[in-house]
Amino acid sequence: MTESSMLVVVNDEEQYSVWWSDREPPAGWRPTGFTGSRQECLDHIETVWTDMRPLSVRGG
Amino acid sequence: MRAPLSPDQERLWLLQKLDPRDASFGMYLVRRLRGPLDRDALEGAVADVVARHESLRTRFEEEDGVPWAVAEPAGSPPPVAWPAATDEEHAGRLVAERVNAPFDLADGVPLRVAVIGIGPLDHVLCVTMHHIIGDGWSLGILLDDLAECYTARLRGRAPELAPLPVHPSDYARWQRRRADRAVPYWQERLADPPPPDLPFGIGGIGGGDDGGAEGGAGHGQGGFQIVRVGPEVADRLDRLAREHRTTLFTVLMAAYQVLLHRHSGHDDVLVGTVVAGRDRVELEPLIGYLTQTVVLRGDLGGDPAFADLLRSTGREALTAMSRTSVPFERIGHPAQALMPTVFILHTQDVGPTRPFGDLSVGFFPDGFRQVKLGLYTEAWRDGGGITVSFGHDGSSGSPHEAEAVRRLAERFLLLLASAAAEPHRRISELRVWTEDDEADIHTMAGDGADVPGPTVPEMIAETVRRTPGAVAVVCGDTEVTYGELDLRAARLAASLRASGVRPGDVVGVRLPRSAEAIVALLAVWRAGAAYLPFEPDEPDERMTFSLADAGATHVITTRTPPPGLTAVDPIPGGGEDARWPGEQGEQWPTEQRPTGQQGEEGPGGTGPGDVAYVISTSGSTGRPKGVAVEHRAIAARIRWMRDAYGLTPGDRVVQFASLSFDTHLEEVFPALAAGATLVLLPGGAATLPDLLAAPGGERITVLDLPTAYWHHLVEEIDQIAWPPALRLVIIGGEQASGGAVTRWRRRFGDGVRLLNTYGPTEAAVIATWADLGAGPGAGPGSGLGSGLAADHGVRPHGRPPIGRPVGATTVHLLDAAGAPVPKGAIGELVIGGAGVARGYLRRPALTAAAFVPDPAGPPGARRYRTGDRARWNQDGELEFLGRLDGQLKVRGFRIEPGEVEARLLDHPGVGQAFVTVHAEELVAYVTGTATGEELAAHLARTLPRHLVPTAWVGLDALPLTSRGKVDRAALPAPVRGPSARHVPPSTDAELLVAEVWAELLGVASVGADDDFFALGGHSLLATRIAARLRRTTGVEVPVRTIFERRTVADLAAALEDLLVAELEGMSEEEAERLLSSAEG
Repeated sequence: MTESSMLVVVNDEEQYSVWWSDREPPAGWRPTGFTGSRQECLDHIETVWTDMRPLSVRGG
Repeated sequence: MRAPLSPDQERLWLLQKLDPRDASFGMYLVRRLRGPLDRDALEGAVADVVARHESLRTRFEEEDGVPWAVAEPAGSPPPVAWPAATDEEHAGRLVAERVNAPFDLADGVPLRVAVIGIGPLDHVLCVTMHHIIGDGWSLGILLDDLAECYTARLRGRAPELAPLPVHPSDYARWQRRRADRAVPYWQERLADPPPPDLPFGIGGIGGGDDGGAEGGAGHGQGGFQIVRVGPEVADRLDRLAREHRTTLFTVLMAAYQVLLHRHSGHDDVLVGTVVAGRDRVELEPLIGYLTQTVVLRGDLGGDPAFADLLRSTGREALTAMSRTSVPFERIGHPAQALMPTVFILHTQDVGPTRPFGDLSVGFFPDGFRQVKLGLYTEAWRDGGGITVSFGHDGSSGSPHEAEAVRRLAERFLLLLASAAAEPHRRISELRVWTEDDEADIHTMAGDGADVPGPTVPEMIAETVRRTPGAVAVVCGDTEVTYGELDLRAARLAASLRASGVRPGDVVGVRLPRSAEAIVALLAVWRAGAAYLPFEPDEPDERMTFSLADAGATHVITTRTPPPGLTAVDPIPGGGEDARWPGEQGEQWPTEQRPTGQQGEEGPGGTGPGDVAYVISTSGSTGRPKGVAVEHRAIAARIRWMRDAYGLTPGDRVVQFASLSFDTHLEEVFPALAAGATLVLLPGGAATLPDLLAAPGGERITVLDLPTAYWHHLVEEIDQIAWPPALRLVIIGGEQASGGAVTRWRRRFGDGVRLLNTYGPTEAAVIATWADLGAGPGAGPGSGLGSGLAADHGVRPHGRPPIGRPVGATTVHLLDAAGAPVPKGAIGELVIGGAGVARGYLRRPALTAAAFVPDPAGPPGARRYRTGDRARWNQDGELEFLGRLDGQLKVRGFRIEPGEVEARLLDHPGVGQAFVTVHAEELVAYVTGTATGEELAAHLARTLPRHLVPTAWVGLDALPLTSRGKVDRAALPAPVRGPSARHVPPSTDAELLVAEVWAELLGVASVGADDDFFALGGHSLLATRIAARLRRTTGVEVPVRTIFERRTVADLAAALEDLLVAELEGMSEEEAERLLSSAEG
């Protein structure tokens, strides 16, 4: 259960991570809508997190 | 008549023989007898009972190491002692003396009977015996039979006791056969036991450290912590047992296993218990050692509901408890591993079931203080409730063990209440941590708040402004002032920009240990870029990969770079112009004086959120990964270090770490930020002893050393020229040895502050620190550690802690469900706060998995999961307990064996590969046709030196456990042969060198042509070899010589030259004295 159902979450700096689907993400993090096993979530992040710089330092 | 011992008796006999002073195998019956006591009747009754029970007449003989039980004929009862006590308290002391006195099994029947008189109508019966002749059940029989015989004598009748059909000697023979048959079951059932990892480190053997031998055994005070389950919860537990058609024992055992699981994180839990072993009617009335100690193996994997766990625990209990127990020695693992703890629910009746003449029989405090095991937990029904006693043996070495076990007992109560109330909850969700625990977690985590402050380039610019003429860097004979350093950095930065480096870029640095290398780091920042440092001899392939991975195209190097990369010369212009102003003592032209100021008007790319540096670390998938750390993170660290280490312009700090490891930041930047002098080791880190012994070495004040290297220096502590000015030594990288700390303390007292640090690259160099011995004048920031300093006199020798979080940092230990654990429990160490890195370059999934949301930090904060296991000890300090995964540390280097294995498997001549550590050495076990030499050469093309194994073992196949993992225990230790052509050492010097090598390299025979590195030598050992030669000959042998003169013959020749040189420089008398000592 704990490992099979995870969420992809993102913070205001557009940094990604995973969180348990049955727990509220901590303040400053929101679910992106993708859920799956831990590995599925990580595989998803591998494809969507293309600019790994925090939002605040991404220049033009 | 003599008989063999039962297997369990044999084990006890052996244990008692190992430690004759151990009184923990005493069994005792202590009862208060009120009323008129007939002394003759009681002595007669004792004689009757002894005549009836063979055990009570049995002594033990040893013949050729084999114990035999010899039963004396009836009619030789033990004397009954009749001491008089002045009062109840005195009686209590007499009882305690008796029950805590050991038995010598070679010294007759291990049985003592006393009746202590408190008053004419008030006595205390105190029977003590060794467990080998009687168990807990036997005590009930003893009391019963004694009561019956006493009453019979008093009434003038024969005792009404049925004759005994079986005697202990019959039982022992029978039990030996049963045990033989049970061996295969237990071997299979208990194969591959998990590490014990009891709460608070109880039961550990001095923390698995060599400190015991050095500093004396770390045994503290044992004792008992007793708590009571109230009637309400006890009722619910009984009901829970009934509803699941099981017993109260099963419920309590399951809860006990959950308690251990929540502390250790292990799903596989071993708990011993004791069964009466009287499964036949004829065994029931016997006095003897019949109880069976069996081990229940709980599988708590998959986070089951407590109610579901009850079912599997019940099944396991039924199966295990119906088996004959087998001495642990026959299962092939030490008892400590198979049965780290015991849980027993006592069920036997405690009072006599027969009248004891006209006496009333009551309890009397027994004062028993012996604990048989690290953690020995017993429970018994007590009115409507359940009493639980946690016995602990003091083995954690902490003076606070009793307090810790008290906490553990309270946690068990909470857990029982929670399981009773909500048995359908998963075991990870049951309450186990108390309110005090929750408060501790919060306090120990530390305050992660970052105090805003200057970045590292800004701090250094400030130093440059303040003291441009002060010496910043010393490298051999060269001294570079802060002003020069700044100017050089400005020039190189201009050169970098001119060659196309832009703010935000990553620039490689591959330079030897030199002032130029320090300049290069600063120049990269000044150009607005981040640096990615490499070993001077980093293989091209790996450097190219790491640079490409970081999107870098430039590398500062003096060597020809691989194709596709732009090389930037560290000295723009090169040649004669490379001489910097100031090197000859020139003054700076004022217009050229660097402003140093970067901050607001400096180039982009050095703001707090920009990447400051990238460190390439070993990656488990076979590819290195780049850890990117931002300026804000490293700035917070450097500010803390400068303050906590108390650095001032007067300090001289050795730059020991290779630039490719992030430890260099801890040496270079706090020193430069404080205006201190950085002293380089151009000959390599291992030449540190040479530097210390050379002129100027005596002025060194601060050393920052890998723990493994420091251990080696401490081994030769009297041979190292420790600088008189030395005031601070910082160690880190792996578990510090308690023995080494003790030796250090013995040599330096509190005169040199010793700091133990811990931290991964991903959290900006270090995250926790512990003061292992503070100097009196410890600098600012020592307030955090002062409590520890006051404490260190009583600090256990076992396992020096890694301490508490550094500033602007939080540490939590998380269980598998992601919940923080309190003192005494093991969890994954997770670091939050200002030092958390940005992540792994171009590794989104890896970054997302390791850098996770931090509920304890500000909104949106992340924290880093280290993969390290740790425990808060009883003092609230962290103990490092190794890795959750297979990552290795060899001599302080972090190594993913997977990376090395992946590279090995690239080679066509390799079938399987397994890489591990043996005796500070990286060992590769391989199958296939390739030789170790071929494979070492193959790896050296792609891996840095510390990732190339130095010992190679060829196997036909890798041994596997029944679970399909590589069976580490079955791997042969690497054996090293002398070189193919063995030339025996001949001269005195060769013999001496060969002897020192043989001892320190662990090689049986060393030949004159054998090579230091081929025999497994490494830089740490070189230090010790130099020290050993110095001790034997009195001649200063530079460590560098050990590297340069690599064979026995070469080194011996060098030694002779040094001797001659030394002799030439000394007087006749000195020479003679030296020669005579060299012969001795």
